[in-house]
Amino acid sequence: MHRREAVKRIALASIAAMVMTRCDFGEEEVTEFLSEGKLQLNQKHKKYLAQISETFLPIKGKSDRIDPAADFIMTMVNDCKSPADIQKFAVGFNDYKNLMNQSSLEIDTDEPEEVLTVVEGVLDKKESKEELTYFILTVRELSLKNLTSSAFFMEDYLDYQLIPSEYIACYDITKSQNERI
Amino acid sequence: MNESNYDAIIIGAGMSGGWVAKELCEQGLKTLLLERGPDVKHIQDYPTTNMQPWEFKHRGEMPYDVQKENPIVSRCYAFKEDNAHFMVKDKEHPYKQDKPFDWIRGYQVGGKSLLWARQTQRWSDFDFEGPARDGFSVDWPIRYKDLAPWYSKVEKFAGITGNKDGLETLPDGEFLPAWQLNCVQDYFTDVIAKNYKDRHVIFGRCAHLAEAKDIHREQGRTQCMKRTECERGCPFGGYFSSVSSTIPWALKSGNLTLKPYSVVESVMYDEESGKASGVRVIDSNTKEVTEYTSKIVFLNAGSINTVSILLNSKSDRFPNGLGNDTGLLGKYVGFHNYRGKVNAIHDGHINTAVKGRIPTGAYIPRFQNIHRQETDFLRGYAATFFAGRSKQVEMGEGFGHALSSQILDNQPEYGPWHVGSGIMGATIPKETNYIKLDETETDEWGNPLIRISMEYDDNDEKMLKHFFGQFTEMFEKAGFENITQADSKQAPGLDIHEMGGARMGKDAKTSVLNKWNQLHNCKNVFVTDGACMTSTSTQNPSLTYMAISARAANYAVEALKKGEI
Repeated sequence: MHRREAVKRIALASIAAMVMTRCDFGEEEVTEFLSEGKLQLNQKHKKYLAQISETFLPIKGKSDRIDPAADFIMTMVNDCKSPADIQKFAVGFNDYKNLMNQSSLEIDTDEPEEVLTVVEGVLDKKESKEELTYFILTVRELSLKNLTSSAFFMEDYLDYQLIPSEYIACYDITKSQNERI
Repeated sequence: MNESNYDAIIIGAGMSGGWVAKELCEQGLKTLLLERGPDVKHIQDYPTTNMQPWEFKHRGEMPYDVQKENPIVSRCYAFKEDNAHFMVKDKEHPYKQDKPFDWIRGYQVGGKSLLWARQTQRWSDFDFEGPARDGFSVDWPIRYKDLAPWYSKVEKFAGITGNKDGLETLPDGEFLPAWQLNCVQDYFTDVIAKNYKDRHVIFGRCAHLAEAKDIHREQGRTQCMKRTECERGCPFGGYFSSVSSTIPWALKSGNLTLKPYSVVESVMYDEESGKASGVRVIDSNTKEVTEYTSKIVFLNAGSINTVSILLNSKSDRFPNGLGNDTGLLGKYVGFHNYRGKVNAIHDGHINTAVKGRIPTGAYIPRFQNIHRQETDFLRGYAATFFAGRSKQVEMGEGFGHALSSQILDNQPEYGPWHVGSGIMGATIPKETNYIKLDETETDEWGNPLIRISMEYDDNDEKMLKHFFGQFTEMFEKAGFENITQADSKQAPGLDIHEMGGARMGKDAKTSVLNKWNQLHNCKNVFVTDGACMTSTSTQNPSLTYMAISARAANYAVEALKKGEI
């Protein structure tokens, strides 16, 4: 191997190691993941978003008929929000990460009280940064949408059926508490 | 250039074109059915029909980029993730708006018959005699008796569900047994009957098979399953569409040639015979031009496109467009005023709800200016009446386990009944409401861009005010609460009921079509879609287009046999 090539490879490996270390500790600015107006999170941040969603709306273990929240949130943000709102979401995500000082991007979702106290404090304060508030409310709203439009919720709670077996125009609900309606 | 010869050519494979195809093919005419969009085959081309709500990537919402690129169709209530593939995107088919007009289109075999609201009411002579009595437009050259047998024919084949209500304003038809209205709709029916002699709340007659008869099973259709996912295409054929009914029926005859991806440039005119000789077609993919010849031509491309094709069909005899000696072609266009809604809450009937769904609601036929002029506006409006109640999903407060507990530890409970009515107002066709061709710009296929100008007028504003007042009063009499009035101020077009532009009439000097829907001055050309409408009345128009189409097609067959055209 030529000396120049060897040096180049060592240098590349060192850079890769640095990047991997940064990724591992989630030190990137979330806005760095913006590409052509869309937010392409790395696995670490996506997992972190999933934990945030689970902290805001705990549904772990409820059903396997609920889509992974982080996937749904990112699909809806990237596809259904304006470029300005995607940017706002990314900035707000970064603000959230800094606020929580969770550089390891790990949340103990079984002990969420401390995090939720901070989150509710942010929403209570009028002077809170708009992007941070937007991020929190968007994650909350889309987590709820992911749950309430899931097969689990629509079938078990709303009794949705694509093909109703019958139509009853005037149904006495006091006599039918346990029946599917 | 390729050439092919047929007995008949039909331009447009939607609601009315499908009926013409069925009637002509059944009677042995070799028929070419042209459609500018792709083919849609019943069942196999309904890609979303069996998808559950949670299987849609965006849960029904349309992506931002699609909405931004297509602001017009995005304003349509039906433009959703499950059926967007059946609706024309603004960007792909541009047009010019001299005044705002939201043009909603469905370019495919089946056209808008895949997307329609499926409400079907007959016109009465109170509607056909309206222009003559009130002095607008021109007198219709037909009356109810001329169309009644054709309404019956269409209703039996398509399958119309309804009650025989015995109302002079809304003639009864050949109905399949209706479903029941719900408790609150029944209650409102009683309140209105007790308080008003001139008003009726009835079951909304609709093109659904509440019960499938032999004629429907022969079409391969079966009973409506009440899924209310109709705009996706119904695999049961539970509602009428050209795709599930008339076109396969016509194909079965062996007399129909269906050519999708065929953009019609013009109807060709033969100066020597004084007749149309066929149509010039552009392949929408290859842009190859083909001329097809025929003895008769039916235009069923949808009101605005039909008018534009005629305007673009220029010859020495007709330099301003086929049949346009008077300059009337493209003028006197109308639509329906759907701007107003009155909504409320009903706190009664708390122990009842509706189990399942049905694809229609209640309907209140026009009750204004029936026998004489009574208001400060001409004509009038019909209205829908909706009453529903569903389990409410509380979005909860706060975060964490407190939030998920609010949602998951409590079964959703029924909220109050929500009730509402929407106006369906007649507009008066005016010369200033027009469709014309742009003189310089063309579309992808080299056809002139269409210019549209339509607007509401003082008559519409007065009618809307009347609707708000009357329905607020009616809701108050029913004890409904939190009554709100909303004017959407939407541009014309979202009603998807554009009509006229080639109106029927008795006199060639004041109309474009005669009583058989022939161009006055070119008798082997027929127009039987919405373009033929002389006035708009208040009924959903598709049933009338279908009846007019069946009638004109049968006339054409007889006239051909007699050598009259």
